[in-house]
Amino acid sequence: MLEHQQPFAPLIQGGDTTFVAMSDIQMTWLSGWGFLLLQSPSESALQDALMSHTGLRLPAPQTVSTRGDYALLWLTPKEWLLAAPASETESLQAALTRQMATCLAAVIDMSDALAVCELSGTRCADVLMSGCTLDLHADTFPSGRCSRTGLADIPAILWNPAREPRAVRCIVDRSHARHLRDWLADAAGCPGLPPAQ
Amino acid sequence: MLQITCPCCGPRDEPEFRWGGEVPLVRPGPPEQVSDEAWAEYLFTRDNPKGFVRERWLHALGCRQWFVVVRSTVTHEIRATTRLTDTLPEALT
Ligand SMILES: [Zn+2]
Repeated sequence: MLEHQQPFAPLIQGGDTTFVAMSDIQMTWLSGWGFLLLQSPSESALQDALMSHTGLRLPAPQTVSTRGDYALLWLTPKEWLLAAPASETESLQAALTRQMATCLAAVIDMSDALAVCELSGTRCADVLMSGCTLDLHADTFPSGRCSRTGLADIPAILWNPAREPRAVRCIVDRSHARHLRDWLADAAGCPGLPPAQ
Repeated sequence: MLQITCPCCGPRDEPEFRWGGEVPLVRPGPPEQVSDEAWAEYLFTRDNPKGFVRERWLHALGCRQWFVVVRSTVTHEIRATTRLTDTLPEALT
């Protein structure tokens, strides 16, 4: 059942990591991340720039490539989202912009626009699937997979970061964070969902 | 509900998509030389056949790409989906 707390005030104020325990499912708002939206038709130039500044390779469609603290998410055929420690976003943006200066490209700082919620626990896929049409079970949505889709009637990027422990990260517009929190809290307590294992 | 195979993302459910009308649809021009009748034809007249149509769809909640779907207006059967940069599929009846 749902244990309701008031854990999100820090998120709303743009503060620290927050938790809510809903018996067998945990919602964690991740902080300390920065996001750069990379858009370019010049894949090889972008690949070179990313390799020299982050060591990342461009991921295949609907997958994520990771290296150290960096993650690169495929979004569309000419668009990627780079997640990096917030303290590095500004210097990375400058470095990538400089290196891509001769190409058609955009490197946009989205850090203040996005919020990341990590849902963990054995039931996390079932809870999310009550508001999303993707099959998020581990065999069809394995680790390293990311998909942009609709979740709880808002656009969201879903990302399975690891095989174990079971978790799905939801990247949404920051202005939708409150809505997602309320929706997840409701969905996690919904009696129609499969019981905890 | 339709399940539509996006050329980028694979099969996804209909709520992720937006319908964009029949293709091909060629905009007449240059504007100062186009008659009112030709503009009206371009803006409002569609073939609307019973059977297979070629139409444009947008994967709005996914990869945000427009693509082409060959769909039956009678049964909703989808015969093909292709990227806009591919050659347009042959018209089916
Ligand atoms: Zn798509």
